[in-house]
Amino acid sequence: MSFADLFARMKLSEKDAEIIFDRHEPIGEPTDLVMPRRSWFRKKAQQPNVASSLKHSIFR
Amino acid sequence: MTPAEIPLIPPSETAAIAGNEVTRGDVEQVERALIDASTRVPVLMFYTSAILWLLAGTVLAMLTSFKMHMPDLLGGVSFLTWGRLRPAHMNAMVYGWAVNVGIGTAIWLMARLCRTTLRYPLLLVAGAAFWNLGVTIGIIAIFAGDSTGHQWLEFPPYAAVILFVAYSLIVSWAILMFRFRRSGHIYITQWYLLAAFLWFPWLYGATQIMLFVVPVQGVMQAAVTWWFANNLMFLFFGSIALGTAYYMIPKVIGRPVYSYHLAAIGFWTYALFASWTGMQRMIDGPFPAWMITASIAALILAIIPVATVGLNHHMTMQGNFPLMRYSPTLRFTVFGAIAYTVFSLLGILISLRSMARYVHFTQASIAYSHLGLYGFYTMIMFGSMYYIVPRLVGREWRYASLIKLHFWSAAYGAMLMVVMLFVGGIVQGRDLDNTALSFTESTQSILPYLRGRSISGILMTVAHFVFAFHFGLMLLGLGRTATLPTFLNPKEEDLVPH
Repeated sequence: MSFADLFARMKLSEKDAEIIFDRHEPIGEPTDLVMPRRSWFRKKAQQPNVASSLKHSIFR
Repeated sequence: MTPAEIPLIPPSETAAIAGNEVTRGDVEQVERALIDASTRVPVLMFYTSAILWLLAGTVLAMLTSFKMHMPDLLGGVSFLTWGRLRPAHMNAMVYGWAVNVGIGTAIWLMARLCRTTLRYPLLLVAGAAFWNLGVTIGIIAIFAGDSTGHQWLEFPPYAAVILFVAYSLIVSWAILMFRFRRSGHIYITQWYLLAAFLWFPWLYGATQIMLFVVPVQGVMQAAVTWWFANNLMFLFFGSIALGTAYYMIPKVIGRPVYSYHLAAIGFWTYALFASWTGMQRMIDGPFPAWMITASIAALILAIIPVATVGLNHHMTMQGNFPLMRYSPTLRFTVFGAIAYTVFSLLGILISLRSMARYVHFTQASIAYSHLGLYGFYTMIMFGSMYYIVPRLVGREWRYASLIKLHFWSAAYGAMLMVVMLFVGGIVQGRDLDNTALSFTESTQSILPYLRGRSISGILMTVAHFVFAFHFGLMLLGLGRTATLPTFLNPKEEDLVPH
């Protein structure tokens, strides 16, 4: 890695502060007050094997 | 096939197919589920052992506190004498509670921020088991009279070796997660956590070598001990707590941190100045004046990171303070963040030579330690547990009333303890400085404050046992199954801004 790459990687951006947010916990929505629907646990209970549930999905 | 073995596809590919029936939001949700599933066992193991040590340390703390004003209490039992109880209490809290809970939170945060599953989590479980074995052996050794006598380093070398090996095993996993992160950006929390992971082996290793392997001579041992104790608080516990606060506050209120550049300035100035501190604990000791002055100067300069972090958190929270009524995480974390500012300012105050003249060797320094390790660090860790545990066990906290009881007992307990010990320390220092009083007379004036400290300890004991009970319910799967969180004030739910 060149120094230019290193400095480029170290360059800060206010955008970096937004990486902790995603579509289920977006900016502007308090998450610990209106917690995301953690539906994956229910999904998992219905379909014990997570991998098998992904067979026909994009994970293939 | 375990969740850890499922290859997660890069974000760019997921974005490309976002138009299909599976949305990118769904993919993110499954990714988070896999990440949480991979960290579930090790993080819960760290949390469970942390809470067990918290309870043990609390009982030892109560005995220690009561013996300060009731010296005959359990005086006939050799292993329960004050000289063994106090180091056992401190080490149970520092290495049993604080390190375990900090690593548990750090692993979860690192996995989430790196967007990578934890590979071979059972190896991390083995690391946790070894760590707790080391702590157990160390505590037993202290009770058996095999303490080293160095504050915060009382564990004998045979226990320290186990700790060191266990720590290497644990942290190498966290660093590997960072190495194989899938997110291109690095969040400020990762900076703090990574730094903390690397600072601990430096601090612990250097100190063990300088005290036990190739021991330095005479008073320099005291310098090494205080350098370690101070920097363990600042560089390890402080970094983990600040990193956690930088994640929890923005995440809970749903607003990015006020200034990312300010956060970076705060981190680097913290790293630069905090590592110079420690020698201020030996003002007027037999050391070169420059050593102590350098630490005092560094502590004063550390006002820069304190101000930047405080300003950043305050501006991020601005307009959202009412949310503290609803979120347990926010309530504990903001309390801890405020305590960090007070802790830093108090540290500067008691380190100034003119002030240290009165409060040196008094209860004021105990107030300072408790404000840092409890008011600041422990409260932020409690907040992080309220956030993380529901995501690991798939249940919500069962009783809002128990969360409230936990918070108010802990908060009032911590504040009362700090006030009692600090004011008591000033009174004690004034009397110690009065040549007309004998030493015995000077110890009389501190007694009411020590009794007040015991009362504050009772409050904190209530807080810890309530929290342990609540956590136990969660572990047993007895939390609420509702998709909504446990509101602290559920009837006013409609007041929450969106």
